[in-house]
Amino acid sequence: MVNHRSKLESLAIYLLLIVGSVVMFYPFLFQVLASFGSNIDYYNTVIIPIPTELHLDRYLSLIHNPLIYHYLINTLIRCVYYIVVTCFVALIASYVFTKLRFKGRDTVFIIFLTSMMVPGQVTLIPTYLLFARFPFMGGNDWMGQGGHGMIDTWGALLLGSGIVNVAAIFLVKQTMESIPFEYEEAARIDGAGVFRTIFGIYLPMTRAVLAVIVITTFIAIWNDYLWPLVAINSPGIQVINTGVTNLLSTMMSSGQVPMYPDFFALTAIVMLPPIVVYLLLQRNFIQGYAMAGVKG
Amino acid sequence: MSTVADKKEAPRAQLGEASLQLSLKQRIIPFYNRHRDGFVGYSLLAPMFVFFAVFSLFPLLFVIYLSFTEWNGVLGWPKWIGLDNFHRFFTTGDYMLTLLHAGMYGLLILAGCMFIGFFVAILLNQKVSGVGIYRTLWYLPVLVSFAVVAQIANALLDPVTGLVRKVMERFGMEPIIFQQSVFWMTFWLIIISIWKGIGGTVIIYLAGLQGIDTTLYEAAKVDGATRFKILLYVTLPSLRPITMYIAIMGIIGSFQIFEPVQLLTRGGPQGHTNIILHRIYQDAFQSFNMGMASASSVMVLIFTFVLTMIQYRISQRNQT
Repeated sequence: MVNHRSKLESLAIYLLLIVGSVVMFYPFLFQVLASFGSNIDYYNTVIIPIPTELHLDRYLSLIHNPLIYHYLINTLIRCVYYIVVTCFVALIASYVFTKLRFKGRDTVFIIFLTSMMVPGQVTLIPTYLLFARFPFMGGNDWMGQGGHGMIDTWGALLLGSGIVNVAAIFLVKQTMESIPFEYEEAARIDGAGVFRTIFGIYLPMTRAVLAVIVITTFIAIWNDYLWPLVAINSPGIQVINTGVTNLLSTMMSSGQVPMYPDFFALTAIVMLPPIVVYLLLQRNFIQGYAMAGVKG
Repeated sequence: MSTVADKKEAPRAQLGEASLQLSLKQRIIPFYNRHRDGFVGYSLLAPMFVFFAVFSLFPLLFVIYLSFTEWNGVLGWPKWIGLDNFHRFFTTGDYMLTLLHAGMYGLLILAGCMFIGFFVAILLNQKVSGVGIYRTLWYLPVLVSFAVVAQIANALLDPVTGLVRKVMERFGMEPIIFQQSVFWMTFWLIIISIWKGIGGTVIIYLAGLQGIDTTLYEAAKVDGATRFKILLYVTLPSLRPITMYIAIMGIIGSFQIFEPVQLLTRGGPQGHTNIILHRIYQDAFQSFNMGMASASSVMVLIFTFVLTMIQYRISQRNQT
């Protein structure tokens, strides 16, 4: 249906696509350009703040800011941890749910699956209270009284967002189901252990869908806002997204004229890593979604 | 004689002992072998289930209990007050309004994302050069944290130095202080959320478009259908399940809108753009009224449950 397309139609398609892309991209262009220019440049422009002289000092001062440095390290640790744990759990769980046959398997899976219906925001309050009143943690006694519990600790950062990511399990399970059972039989005959079977045979075969999980987990954890906002107060273990937002809101409420180009340099640091990760793994992203059977 | 009998007896005794041992082994090993999958499966799932029970199942039951209590979450224990929180939820008006806002914003954002997303997906599905670049550009806002987007929006909408004001002045229009107008803040909230959400819809629709059987198109072409008719009678019906999925997920998602409100309007002016999840946050962490916040959470849970059931019904009906 695309072979006989008139010149006019082609023109219209390209025009729409280009206009749309400009609309999507313009705010980012605006932000990045403004962060490189001088403040005078920024306040004098109307459409695009083209820098007349290059100002890198905003970024240089950010790199030397120990607070930002802490935020970045903390967020990176959290992201890597969640990616590894989510993939690990998803692989093992989908192996159990697809390759092993035992009583009660499907019931357990349905219990897991129903929990997917409960949005994390609904359990925000009880989860916060669970962490704050966790027994024997952070000065709490056995009744959970007296201390701050796991709030403001790494425990809150590393356990707060679900470790058992049911959506990820679902995605990997979908892919693993399409792998013939002969592989499992061959592995058993050769005497491979359970973990060797999972990580030696199934891990390489589900790479594409794991890439999807890596991207989505990285983006979700890097951009996580609500839980760190609620659970972390001390700047030492704050993550980048919430930390920078807190910094910005104190700057905004300080009453001075907001120096937007300075703010833009800050937010550019928050913005860049997810985009880079997406661009690096993009090919796998679409392929992985297609493999998991997200189709019409 | 006796020695012969002894000689005959001895091996039998040894054999009997051995056969007894064997039968014990024989009983355990086949039992394990028969139920090997179960042993391995349950021992692999057990640690996950412990985490799941503590960090997912327990909070779910806890929030239901808390919704019948009054507690500041810091000292002492929750005090049972029955249905008072729910009574307040339905009579104060404020809460129903935030719920209504959530539904309204959710629907408008959803409609925008679906409408634009569908057409962009159609455009991107044509043979155009540089499809990857366009797709990436459209997907960019999805990747970026709302904190970043809100910061850019704040700068563009700034009442003194904002770009929107400058453009309006250049065209000779009276500048508006958006931050003081309920209508304008609602407007920007929705526009910005649509802008951020389109990319996700485009990706899902693109996957759907690529999954449509090409023979359907060929058959339609053979029958002499115009391109518009193909769109109307082949593409649209084929995408119906996906559209349904996006719609229900979007409606469920509308009760989870938090960051746009928290970062753009803080519920203002005068709480007129407040939304349920932001209200829960305020109740819990600004007024320390955990009971009330839990009651609102339970209401969100009920709404989500009903919507999910509806989606399940529809998807079942589509399959048969």
